[in-house]
Amino acid sequence: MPSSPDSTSDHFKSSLALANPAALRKALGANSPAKIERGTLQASSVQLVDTILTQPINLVHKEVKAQLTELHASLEGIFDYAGVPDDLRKRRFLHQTGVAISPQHALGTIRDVFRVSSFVRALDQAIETLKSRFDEKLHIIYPACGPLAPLALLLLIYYQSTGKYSGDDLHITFIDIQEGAVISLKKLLHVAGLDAYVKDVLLMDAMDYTQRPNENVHLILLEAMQHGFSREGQLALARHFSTMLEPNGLFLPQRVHIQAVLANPQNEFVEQWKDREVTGYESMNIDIKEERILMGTILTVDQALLKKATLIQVDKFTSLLECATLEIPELEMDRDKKVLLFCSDVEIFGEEKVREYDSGITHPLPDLSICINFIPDDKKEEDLYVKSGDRLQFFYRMNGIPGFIAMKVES
Amino acid sequence: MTHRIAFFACSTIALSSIQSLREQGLLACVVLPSQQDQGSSILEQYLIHLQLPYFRTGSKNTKANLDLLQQSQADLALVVTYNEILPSEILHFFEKGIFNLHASALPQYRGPVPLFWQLKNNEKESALTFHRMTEKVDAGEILIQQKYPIEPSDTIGTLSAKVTQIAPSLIQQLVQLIDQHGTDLPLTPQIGEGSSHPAPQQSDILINWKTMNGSEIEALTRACNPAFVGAQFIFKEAYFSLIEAEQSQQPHFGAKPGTTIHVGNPEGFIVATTDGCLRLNVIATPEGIFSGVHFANRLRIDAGETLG
Repeated sequence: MPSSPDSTSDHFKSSLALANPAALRKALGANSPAKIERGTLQASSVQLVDTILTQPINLVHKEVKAQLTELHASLEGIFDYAGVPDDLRKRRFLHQTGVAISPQHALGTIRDVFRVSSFVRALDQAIETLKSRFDEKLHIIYPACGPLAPLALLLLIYYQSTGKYSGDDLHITFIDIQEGAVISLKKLLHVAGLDAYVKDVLLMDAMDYTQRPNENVHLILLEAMQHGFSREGQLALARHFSTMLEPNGLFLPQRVHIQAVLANPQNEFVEQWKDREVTGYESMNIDIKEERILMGTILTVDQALLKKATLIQVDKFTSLLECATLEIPELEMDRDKKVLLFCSDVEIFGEEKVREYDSGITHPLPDLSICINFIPDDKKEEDLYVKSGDRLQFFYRMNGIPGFIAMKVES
Repeated sequence: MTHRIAFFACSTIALSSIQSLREQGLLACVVLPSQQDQGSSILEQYLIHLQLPYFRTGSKNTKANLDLLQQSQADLALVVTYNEILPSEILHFFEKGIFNLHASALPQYRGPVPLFWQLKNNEKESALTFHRMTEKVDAGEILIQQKYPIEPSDTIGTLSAKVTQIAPSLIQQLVQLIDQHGTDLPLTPQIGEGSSHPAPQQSDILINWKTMNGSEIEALTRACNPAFVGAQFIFKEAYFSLIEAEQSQQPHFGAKPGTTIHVGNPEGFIVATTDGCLRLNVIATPEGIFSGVHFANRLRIDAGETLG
C-alpha cells in the first residue's frame, strides 16, 4: 500500500469517519470541498465497497445511499482541487455518437445506488473470472468514464487498500471526450493512490481510440446510455470496442434488453411511487405492473448483435439499425389511452442487473409521439397515429441523438 | 428661393434633419402624430429643449391641423418617419408639394417598417427614396432615390442610424431640385408592382426552427435588434428574445432543427437549424440580457434539448 502523506492524521480521521457519519462528512471536506485526502477517501470507499460486495443491496440500500451521498458531496470539490475552470465543468455538447453530458452533471452518477453497486459487484466478479482465464496483466478499457470513473474508482480503491489485486494484476485505460473530466480524473486517481492501476487517461472521442499493436484488451466497461437506451453512444461505442476484445474477454454490460410496453402514464410514473421510499424494480407496484401490456422485445444488445449488426446509412451523420417489428395488441376500451414506453434492463455480469427504475439509465422512456387509438388535441408534426392491429417497425437511430424510432408498417 | 418647410416626424431619427433645416432657416414647424408613442414623445422632448416650433395633429380634426399649418406659413412638407396616414386635405395643402422619405428602393418594400422586412429578407442593398405623397400610400412619383449597401452586420438600429446620416444630404438635394425646377419637378413614376409589407406582427418576429435556415434566423435577429428587442423563441413554453446570432461551422450530427448542439465557451451556445448550426450570442430575458452560454446555464439547457 502506498503511504499517505500524513498517515497518522489520516488514520485518526478514518477511524473517526467510520464511527460517525457527521465526522465522515467533515473529514471528507464537506465544509472545504477543495480538499480531498487519500486516507479519508480510502476509508470511506473500502467500507462502502465491502458493504456492497457482502450485503444484498436491498438490505443496505439506505446505508449505501447515505455513504454515496457523502462521497458525492466530498468529491464535488474535485474540480476546484484539480483546477478545472468553470467553463470546462459545465460544457456539454453533441458529438457523432451522442450527448456528452457536462462533467458537473456526470458527478451525480456516483449517487445512483443500484447502478454503482451493481456495476461494482459485476466488475469484481468479471475480474475474478478473467483472472482465471488469463495469466497476464488484465487490460480494461473504460470509455466515457466521466470525471469520477464511478463504476471502477471505488473498486480500485478497495483493491489497493485490501491488496486483493495490485497494479500488476490489472490496469485501466480511461477515456473521456470532456477535458474537464480528464483533468479531474487524473487528479483523483493520483490523490487516491491509484496510479499503479492506470494505463492511461485519454482525452479523446472514444470512437477514435484504436488498439495498439500487441495490445490485449480483456474487459470493456461501458455505460454510456440514458433512459430508454437513448441519447448517449452506448451502441456505437460498443460496436467500436467489442472488436478489440480478446476471444475470452468480457464486455460489461453483457446484455441490454429494450422492450416496448404499453402503460397508463399516470399509474406508471405517479401513482405507483406514492409513499415509496425507494424507487427501484423491487418497489414497483404489482397491480400497476400487471396493468402493463407487453408489446415485445425491440432490441437486445449483446456480443452476438454487435458482431452481426449491419446498419442502414441514412445521411452523413445518421445510420439506422433495424430492430423488431411488433403488432399493437387489442386494447380494452378503458385501456385505450396507453402510452408506449421503452423499458430497458441491463444485465451487467453474472446475476448483476440494473432493472427498470433501479437507475436513471433504466427509467422507462415514454414516446408521446406514438398515439395509439387516439388523436391528441394538440397534434404535432412528428406524431404517429396508429391503432390496435397495426404493426410498428422499430429502428435504432445512431447519430448525435441516438434513440428508437417507430414506423407504421403499411399492409 | 426661400421655403417654409413643415416637417412631419415621429422619431429621433429625423432630429438631425430637423436641426439642419432650422440652421438653414427653412423650418416652419415640426408636426408630430396624434398618438403619443415612445419615439414621438422622445422627439417632442428634444423639440421642447431646442425650442423648435411643433404641434401634434389632432387625430380627426383636419381643420384645426390645417389652421396650424396655415399659421406656420409652410409651403412645402417633408415626411420622415411619420407613422400615421395623412388626410387628402393635408396632402394637397402645400403649394410646393409634400414629399415622403421612404427607407427602401420603391416600389419595393412599401409599408410602415421597410427596414425590418429588408433585413429579414436578407437584402444586400437598400435605398432612401423621396417620393411625392399621394392618397395611395408609398405609391407616388419618385424625385430622388439614393442606394446604399446593407452590411452583413447591420441591424435595424444601425440601418436607422445610416438613414439618419444620409437624410440631411437628401433633403438638401430635394430643396435644390425645387429651387431649380419649381413645381415642374423631374418626377419618375414607380414602375412595376413592387411589394408591400405590413407592420410586423408577433408571428413575424418568432423564430420557426423547423422551417427557417441559419441565414434566415440570423437575418431576423438583425431585423429585430433593437426595435423589437430581438427575434423571439420559445423554450419550455416561455418566450425569450434572441438579440444577436451568427452561423456556426459546428456539425449538427443529425439532430433536428432547434436542438441544442453545444453549451460552453469558447464555442458558445449552438443550436441546429435546417441547414447547419447557429450560435446564439446574446439573449434577452425578463431578468436581464445574457450571453448565450450564460442564458443556457441559467436555464440548465442540456445538449440535445430542443428549443420550440
